Amino acid sequence: MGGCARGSSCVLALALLVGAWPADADGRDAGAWLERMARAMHELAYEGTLVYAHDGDLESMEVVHGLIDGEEHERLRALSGKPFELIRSGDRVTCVWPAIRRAMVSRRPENFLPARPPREFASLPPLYTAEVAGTTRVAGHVTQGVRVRPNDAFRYGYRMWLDRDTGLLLRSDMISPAEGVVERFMFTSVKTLEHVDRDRFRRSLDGMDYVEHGDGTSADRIEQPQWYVADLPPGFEAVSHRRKAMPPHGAAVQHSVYSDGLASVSVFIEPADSDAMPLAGGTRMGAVHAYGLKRAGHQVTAVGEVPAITVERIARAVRRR
Amino acid sequence: MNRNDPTADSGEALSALIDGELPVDEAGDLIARLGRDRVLRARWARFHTQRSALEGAVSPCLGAGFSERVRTATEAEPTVLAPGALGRRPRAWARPLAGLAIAASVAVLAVGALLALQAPAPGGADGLMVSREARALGAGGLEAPAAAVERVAAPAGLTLADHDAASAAVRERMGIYLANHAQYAGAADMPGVVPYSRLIGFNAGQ
Repeated sequence: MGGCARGSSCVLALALLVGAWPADADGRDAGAWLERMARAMHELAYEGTLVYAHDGDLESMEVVHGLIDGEEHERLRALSGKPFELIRSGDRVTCVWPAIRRAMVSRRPENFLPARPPREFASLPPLYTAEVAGTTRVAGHVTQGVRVRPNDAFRYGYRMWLDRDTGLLLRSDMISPAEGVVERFMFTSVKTLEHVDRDRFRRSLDGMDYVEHGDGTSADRIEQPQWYVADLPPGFEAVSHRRKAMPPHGAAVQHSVYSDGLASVSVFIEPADSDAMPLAGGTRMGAVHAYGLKRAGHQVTAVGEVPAITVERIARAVRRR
Repeated sequence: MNRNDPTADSGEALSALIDGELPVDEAGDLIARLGRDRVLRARWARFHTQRSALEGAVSPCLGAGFSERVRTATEAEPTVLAPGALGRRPRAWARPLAGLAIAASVAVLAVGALLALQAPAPGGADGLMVSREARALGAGGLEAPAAAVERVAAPAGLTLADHDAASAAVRERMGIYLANHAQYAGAADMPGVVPYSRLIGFNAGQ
């Protein structure tokens, strides 16, 4: 949902996976289920309560999603902890902190994620394998289990439970072979809607005085980035690059995204002045790992929902043209 | 409160779960029960509505005065209003953030999107629990969620609270990076609720 600003991108990502399925009925079934999931998460209107567990912590949130005039809308609102909500309309994302009456608007460039050229499934690298894995109930719905296994140590595996009636993803566990479940998303209640009104995607601050940051303008996409990764882990490819002024220094930061079709890693490169990110070495939060180092007077930080070795390898392989 | 009343106990636990204060193993049990128990799910939904109303974050479509109506209507649910019976356990990664002052000039995205950063444990997986899910994965099994009450791995390691002021700067910047990663890399990620849900969780849990 959140990741499906473009349904086609998601379907493409899943199609890439399908191409890596073993050529048996089970693999084809798993691929068909995942394609169905991608469509459902993009096209259906639904609402529910979602639980997110990581690092021994647990948060719950309210989710509303729908497609209005061909544009995807969603709103996520924290139900535990500090009040916070996120509203997405197409490529425009608004973060709202009701308690301090602040909002932040940003927009992803329309062409940030170019369509990848069609690929022959048979030639795809064997990044993952998948299989169907029985049925069970989640949030009162009968679900189809699908398991995705990584074929090397540079990516995590997934276990997913998809609503057999609608295809919606009702539970997803991200799995490290070494650590078990590193992150879990699960609906505790969910229902599809006949339709959803725009009113459902209004900010809770509407009608109140609040401070808004950002004007929704997009960052600059760059075709020939000054910095690149010389030795990507198998299966990862550059998706896009952009340059944007970021706080606290306001200097232009190069942000490059790399993906294997399922997992993604962002690389941030900024001048290593006193306000730069001071991370040296690795750190983590749930399934998200980060690795930082200094190179040629710049701070390089790789962040992504991948194992530690992946962000470290990518960060260490950053070079200047 | 009558501690022998299982309904009251469920109310306490649900309230603690909503507050993110229930130990993970207990949370897993409760979530599994939520998947099985329609009555408990209804109560869970009601608690959320109450909590949202009390925090003034109700849907605009509910109209003015909704919070007061909820407060009046839910006086029979005192555990929601006084969830402290279980004690307010600080979250593992909330503690390092205590007292962290965040400059208003820093992007608002970063205000909440602070991470519970943990230094990697020496020796890799030392001290890490191996969940039943990991074993099931290895054995080729996929157990039913209702029975999957095991913990989500909580890696061992030093929290950055043990370090110096630079750690606060790392958390602050990582919040900005994570927000950008969710927005720009999300479309290449798993479809579904994953990328922005992380942001919601991080912000709510700061």
